[in-house]
Amino acid sequence: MLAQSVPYVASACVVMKKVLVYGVGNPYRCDDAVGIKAAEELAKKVQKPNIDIKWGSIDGVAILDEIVGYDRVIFVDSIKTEKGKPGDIYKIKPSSLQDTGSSFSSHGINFVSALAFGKKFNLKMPEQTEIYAVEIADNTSFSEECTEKVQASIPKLVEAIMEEIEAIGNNE
Amino acid sequence: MYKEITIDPITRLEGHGKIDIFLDDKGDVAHACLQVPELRGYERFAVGRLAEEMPRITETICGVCPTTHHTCSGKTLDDLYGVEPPPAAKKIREFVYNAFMFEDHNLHFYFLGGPDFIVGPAAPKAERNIVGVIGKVGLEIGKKVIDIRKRTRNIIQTMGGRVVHPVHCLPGGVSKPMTTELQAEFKKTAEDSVEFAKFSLQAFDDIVLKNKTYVDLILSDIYTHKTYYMGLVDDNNKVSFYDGWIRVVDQEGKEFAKFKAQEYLDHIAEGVESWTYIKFPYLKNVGWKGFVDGKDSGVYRVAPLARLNVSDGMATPLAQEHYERYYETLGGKPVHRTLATHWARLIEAMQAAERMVELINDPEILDPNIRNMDFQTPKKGLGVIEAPRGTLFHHYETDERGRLTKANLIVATVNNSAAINMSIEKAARGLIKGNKVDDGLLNMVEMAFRAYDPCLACATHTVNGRTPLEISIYDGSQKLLRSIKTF
Repeated sequence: MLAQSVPYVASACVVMKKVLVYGVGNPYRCDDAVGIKAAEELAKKVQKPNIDIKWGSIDGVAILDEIVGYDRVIFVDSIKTEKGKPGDIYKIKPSSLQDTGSSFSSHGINFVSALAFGKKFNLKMPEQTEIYAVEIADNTSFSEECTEKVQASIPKLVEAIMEEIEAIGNNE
Repeated sequence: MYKEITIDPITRLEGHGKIDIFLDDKGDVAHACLQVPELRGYERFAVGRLAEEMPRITETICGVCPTTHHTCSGKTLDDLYGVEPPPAAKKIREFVYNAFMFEDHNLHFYFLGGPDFIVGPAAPKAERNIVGVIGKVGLEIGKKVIDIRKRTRNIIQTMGGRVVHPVHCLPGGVSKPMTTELQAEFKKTAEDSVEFAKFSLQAFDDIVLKNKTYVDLILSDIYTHKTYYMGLVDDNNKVSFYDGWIRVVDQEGKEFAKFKAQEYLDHIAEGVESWTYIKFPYLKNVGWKGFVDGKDSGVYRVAPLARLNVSDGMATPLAQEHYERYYETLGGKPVHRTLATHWARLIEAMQAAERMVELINDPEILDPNIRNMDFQTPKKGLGVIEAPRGTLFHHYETDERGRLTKANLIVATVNNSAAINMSIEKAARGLIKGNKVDDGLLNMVEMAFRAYDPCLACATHTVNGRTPLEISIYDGSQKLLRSIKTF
């Protein structure tokens, strides 16, 4: 029994990376909900103790509250770019986001400032942060459903994030 | 499968604002206005939904004050179904709500509006943020800001089920009782919140009030409007955030009206302008005279400046001490100085903290009876609450099954919409002369705008985290002179 239990204890002592997947959006604003819908799908498929899957409408400061303590964070959001087609999936590195400095926002500091702020205060910030974003067509209409092409992109989006999560496990 | 990109311009413009400034032939400001693609769609969207869904639907209007919409909606359902929540349920709601008010007011002071003063209005834009604030007040204080924010948000998370979009308010009560274990934890948070509020008020005293330049800025005409004021008061006419009477005072501070939420349509009308989706509420019994202040104009203001003006005092002792000093320093009641809102906000944060202490120490909050389900046939329900940024009204009408046939929401920023336009125009007039656009325009307009802590629309978040705003200046022939974008 003892021989059997030793490897088990040793295995349990491996510090698993804490991962957060966060779907961002408004559930009633058509394609804006794509991040939430993807996160809901992921929650059905991924059940690992080190992986938390959440969703909601959050901004800069709330982002900081959510990500402190995780080793890695994957945001899932919607996006509109100049040349994109609805349903296109992007992977964005936060380092490519510009810190736009002071803002008019009554809501919070911007995302890049939130990361910088956390580091400045020696908070345990994620070593790695990624944003998966889906090109959307409509985020102003009231609907609990996404438009067709955006809805069709969700399985691919979920698959991409699942691969990402699997890779984290394999690299440990 | 996907494209990896360095950031292409993000144009996720839900909830953006646009300020247009029109100059006359001499190049001076003729008119300025804020345009907002606003959130009125929610009222149409709500029709046909079950009323009981409204606390969970309306809170998604906004990623900033979901607790406000959620709680106001819960109160509206009480009225709709004719049920009075048990005392413990009311106290839990009010406790959670004061935790939210405290947290949100601190967020504004340290992260958003406060940097204008703490770091300085003339400081480089890149320094006018929380990091600049910490540079002034010290790293240890920065850690305290993070700690107290986390703990007060934990109250919302624990009692509300979720911190961003809570789910605890139900018609006739709440979903979760208070336990002695939670009470012990929250007592400490509430007491520490009072200490933190003391620190914030002292910091405002040291950094702002002892600096003549800042005081002169607060008292300057550019940030002054003599309007009516509206806010909730309790039975003793003291400031109240969760419930009470809606009181309106005039430009001299005399009571003009006092009414319950159910009578709001007797007192408030909403005007429209062709150039914006945002409506302009005004006092029905005064009338709409356009974007002007004074006794004959029905424009009123809400939020901290207004709440202190409409009350006879704060509801808690330490906040009352600061209330008295506030009016002594600023020349008596009412205070018309828009930038004084920042000080009023900190006094309110103190009341919120003290009220948390009162409520969590009340033995009745532990009563497990938290729901009254003696529902009446629904028809019409009204609710009101004070959001951090002003008075919020919810109005639902339903069929006998509780399915919505009508919804009307007057949100805090909408109440202030006329005043925000007036403040922007006044700031612009002070800065633009003879077609010369002063480089300080952006910040001065920002300060006028930001004092109101406006929330422009629902769930406003660009990927880079800011509310997009564009300022365009047109000359006398409507030709675009200059455009400044924040996105």
